[in-house]
Amino acid sequence: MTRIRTDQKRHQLYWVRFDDGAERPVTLSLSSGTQVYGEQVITEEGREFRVWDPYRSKLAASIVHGLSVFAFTKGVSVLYLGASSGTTASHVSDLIGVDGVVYCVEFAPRVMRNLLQVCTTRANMVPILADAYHPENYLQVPELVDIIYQDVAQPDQAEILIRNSVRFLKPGGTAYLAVKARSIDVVAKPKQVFLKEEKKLKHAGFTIVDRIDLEPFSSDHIFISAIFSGEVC
Amino acid sequence: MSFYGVCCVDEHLNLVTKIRFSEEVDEASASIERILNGEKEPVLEEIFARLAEKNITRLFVESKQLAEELARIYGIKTVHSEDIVLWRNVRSTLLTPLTTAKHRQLLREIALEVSKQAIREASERRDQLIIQAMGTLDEIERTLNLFMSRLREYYGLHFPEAAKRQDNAYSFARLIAEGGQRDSIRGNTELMATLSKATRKVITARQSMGAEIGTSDMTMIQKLAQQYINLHKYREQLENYLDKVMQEVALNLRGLIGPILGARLISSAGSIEKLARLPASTIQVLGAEKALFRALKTGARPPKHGVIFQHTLIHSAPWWQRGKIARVLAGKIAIAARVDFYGGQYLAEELKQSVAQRIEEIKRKYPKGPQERKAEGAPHRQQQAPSRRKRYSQKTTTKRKRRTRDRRRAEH
Ligand SMILES: C[S@@+](CC[C@H](N)C(=O)[O-])C[C@H]1O[C@@H](n2cnc3c(N)ncnc32)[C@H](O)[C@@H]1O
Repeated sequence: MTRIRTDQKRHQLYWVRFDDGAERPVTLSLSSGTQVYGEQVITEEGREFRVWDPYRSKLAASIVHGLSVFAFTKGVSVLYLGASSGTTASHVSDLIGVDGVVYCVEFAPRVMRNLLQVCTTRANMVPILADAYHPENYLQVPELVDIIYQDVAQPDQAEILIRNSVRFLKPGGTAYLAVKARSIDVVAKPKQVFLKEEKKLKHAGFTIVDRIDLEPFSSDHIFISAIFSGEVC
Repeated sequence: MSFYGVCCVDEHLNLVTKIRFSEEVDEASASIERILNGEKEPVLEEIFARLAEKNITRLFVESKQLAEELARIYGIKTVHSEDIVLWRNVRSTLLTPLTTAKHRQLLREIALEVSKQAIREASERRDQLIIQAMGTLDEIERTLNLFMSRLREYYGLHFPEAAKRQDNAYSFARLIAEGGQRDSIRGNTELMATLSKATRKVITARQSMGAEIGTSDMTMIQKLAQQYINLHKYREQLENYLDKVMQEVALNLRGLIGPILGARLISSAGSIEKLARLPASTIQVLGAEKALFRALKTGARPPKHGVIFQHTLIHSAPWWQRGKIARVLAGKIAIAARVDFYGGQYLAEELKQSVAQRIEEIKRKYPKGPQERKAEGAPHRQQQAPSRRKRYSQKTTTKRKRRTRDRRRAEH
């Protein structure tokens, strides 16, 4: 019995339906026999699929919630900011395949140690130990990319995305941003935080397409997709 | 420059010269590590030689960090350029078309090797190196001050007017080392150009109160000045190094309070592990032990605060807010140290933001010192400033009041 099927309407992704009726996206593993974060692996007709957990990955959560702009096709190049230990980045790596590339920026050395293990087993992941606030220091990225994906859980989120986009994102390229509105210590309401960040993005030439609340998968997060005009001044 | 090689273009994006790093991963990553660690790298020396041949003297570099290193190591005039459009164009018209699968593969392997190297170093007990480097830095600071006051006195025998000028100590040392005798300073146009206008005026003045000094005497003074300069340069290197190691060992601590103060805290605690285990209240007074013993010996007033009081957020605040700010900061430092030691993510920016917010609250809540607040309530009884003793007693009463108030609160 095949449980995995592709869905034409939903970005050609593979999906699995569990017995309880829940549907989850899965990705065809680029590096069979390896798990990245203890995710479930389903083998079917000799192919290995990794179940993409929306509770662990904000990109998966946004897809489950109906993300409309989905640019992760075979062969694209991605600049990933805040790659952490590679949970989401590894699924991105599956999606874009060996002809694509995902440059993974992570600042914390101890986190990078885990990320490196993931990068070694995947031929399209390039590790970069750097501060995403200073993209002028990425000596590892020689090209403009199709996608920038950012999840750094920081204040200045829009500013970081803009700094990276003007240097590295192709005109018409897609940006994904997980905006965290912090609840501790912060006086401003989450809603205000989102609006402020959006305004900055629009000002920098982004057209915002998706605006997705990630509840119940992750709280206090809004997931934004946007298209970059490429007009840099 | 990328992990792949170095290329130089002119303002119309025409290629001037380029060199690739080795196609062997090990060799290429060794080259890159040398560059990132501020050591001489043959590939770059070759590039600079070629540029010199073409009479190119100024070079724009995208990375500020790199620009500074290159200027320091190769003495090349490098300028960090913020012209984003330029760098974007370099990438889109020159580099993107060149990026083939083969390039990416090589680049990825080099990137893996370079990151592995960086992580490997982080895993050793680098915090002990931080402690030693920090101690060295403090000693250099003291030595530099000693040397400088000696130089002023020593050189002052010959040229008291210049020695008295209290501008930049480093340029004073250069003036002695490279100039020496009054006349030779005057004759050295290059050196003169580096001096401030006022100093130049002193030097060109016809008269000096100082005495003539023989060449052999001057040589000894100049050698001392040279020692000062060398030590000064070494201090700069040591600071850079300390910053790098802090990035590896205590990224969040460095992000929150800067590399030097962070290193001082690690030093006072004994290790990053010990610091991570301390409660915020101890962190707040950390580093005051030495001052305490000194106070006991010399009879000076005992210290009230630890090293975190060196932080500008604290010492630039009015005194009645300082304790409160210190408490907030110490709390966040404790979090940063724990995240660093137990291997967590980067969150210093968040911590910084929340410190800033708490400080805003404190400023709003306590805009005035206890004395002023009191003075406003009661009519002025005293015209003159209160005597020292009075001021002291006032402070203690408010302190006592605060304490009882706190106690009352705690009881609720
Ligand atoms: C919420 S986690 C990202 C999780 C990841 N996107 C995933 O789904 O697998 C945020 C990461 O961003 C990193 N980070 C924070 N600030 C950064 C910066 N300025 N530059 C690079 N990385 C940063 C943190 O160390 C942390 O690992």
